[in-house]
Amino acid sequence: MRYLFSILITVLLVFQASAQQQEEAPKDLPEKFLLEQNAIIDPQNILSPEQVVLIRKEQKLLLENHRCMVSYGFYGIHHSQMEIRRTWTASIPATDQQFHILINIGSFLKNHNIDIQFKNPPLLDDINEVENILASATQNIQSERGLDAILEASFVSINDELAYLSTRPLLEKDQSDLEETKKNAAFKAYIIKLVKIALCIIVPLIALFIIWNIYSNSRNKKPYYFPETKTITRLGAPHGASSITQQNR
Amino acid sequence: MKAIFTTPLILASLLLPSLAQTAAPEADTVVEKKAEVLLAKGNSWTYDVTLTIPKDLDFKPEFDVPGEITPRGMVYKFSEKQVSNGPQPIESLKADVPVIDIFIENKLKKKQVLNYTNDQLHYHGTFMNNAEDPTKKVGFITIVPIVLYNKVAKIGDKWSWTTEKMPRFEFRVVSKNTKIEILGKTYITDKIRMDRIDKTTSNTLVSKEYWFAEGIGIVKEQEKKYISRDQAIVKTLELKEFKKAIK
Repeated sequence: MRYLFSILITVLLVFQASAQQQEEAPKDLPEKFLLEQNAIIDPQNILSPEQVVLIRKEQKLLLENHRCMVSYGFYGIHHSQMEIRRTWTASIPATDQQFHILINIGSFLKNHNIDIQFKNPPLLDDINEVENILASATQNIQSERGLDAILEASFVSINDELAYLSTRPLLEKDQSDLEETKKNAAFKAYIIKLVKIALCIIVPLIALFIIWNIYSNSRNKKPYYFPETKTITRLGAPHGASSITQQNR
Repeated sequence: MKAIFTTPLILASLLLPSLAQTAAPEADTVVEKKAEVLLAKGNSWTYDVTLTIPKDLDFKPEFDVPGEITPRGMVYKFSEKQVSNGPQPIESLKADVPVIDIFIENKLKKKQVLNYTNDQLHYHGTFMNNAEDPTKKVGFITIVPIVLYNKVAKIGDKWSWTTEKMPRFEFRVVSKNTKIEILGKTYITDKIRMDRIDKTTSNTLVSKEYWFAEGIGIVKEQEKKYISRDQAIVKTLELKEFKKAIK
């Protein structure tokens, strides 16, 4: 009974340890940026705590769904756009290959200024596409009024654009693979057609050659008998100036 | 000996018909087209429209609806009804194509030429009969349609439409089969983004996002017409009611 009880406890401990290990296991998604302060660069404390919470939540979703780290920068009259950009650039390790976006928001009394920077974009056939799409998103966000509306528009717009940008390379690869397969199939069909045409020409030629060869061989194999000749003397002269040859029958 | 004679002939007889087969034109496949019911005569869509005009912009609305002053600007709310007339003869298209009447606050404002064929929604143009001479029409019709929706398009798919003297229309599929709630109703939609781009400056003049539900049509649309870097006229349509024609 005591042994049974100790086995049961051991099993329970092992089960608990494995469950804990599963919980603590590092996730596939890189979350280091979420933990770093530079995912939100707000030296002037423009954001309210609620806005910070909202941004962090959206950043996590964007990272999970599109594997893109979207940082937010905020500046006012005491800081410049370039300062925020420099801080953001410095926060990304040189070896980092992940797609990064910075939404840089200048918050002023009468208006807001938006600009979007990016690093390590997905490779697309059209090299200007990422730039054009993010320029379009900038315009879309910029047209909103008030920081809350700007943030809300940025969440929706960036999510949409990232959905497109993250899927586009896969689609381009599929399209290119399909084109390659079609090209290969067309080439194969062309070669088969050429082979067929060549065979149609070569086969009758070979046949003719074989026929000719067979006929010529059969003609060559027929024995040819040279006539047996016998010289006879003419007027008694065995080797005269001329002679008459007569075949013996 | 006999075999030597007959083998090439057999080979030739086998190969020649297959060659003839490849050279022959492909047999015409008759595709039976299903009747497209989306734009059937009598179908109607009623939208709640919100139009936001930025503060400093001088805007005279064509409709008799009072605006409301908000921090964003003047906001107008009105109803837009779209009714399909079914296929009508369109002279420039040399075909019968569905024409949709667009009523704003029960007044006919314009007619749209749309077509739903091969799982694609095509836009052919917008026109209005001249009030003085109803036989004359004002507007534009394009023979090469602008594809607004393609059922088979995937997320990441893009297409464009371009012609002389007009901006370039660029479309991309943003999401597929996503749920959206509009005025208390949930729809499964595909979201498409359209940008109207100035060909010389590459600036976006108008951006439009619309949600298309299969069998219903556009359930939501948000259009931003940019008037400056940070100002836009925003028009939002949300489907209030879709009525199918009674057969």
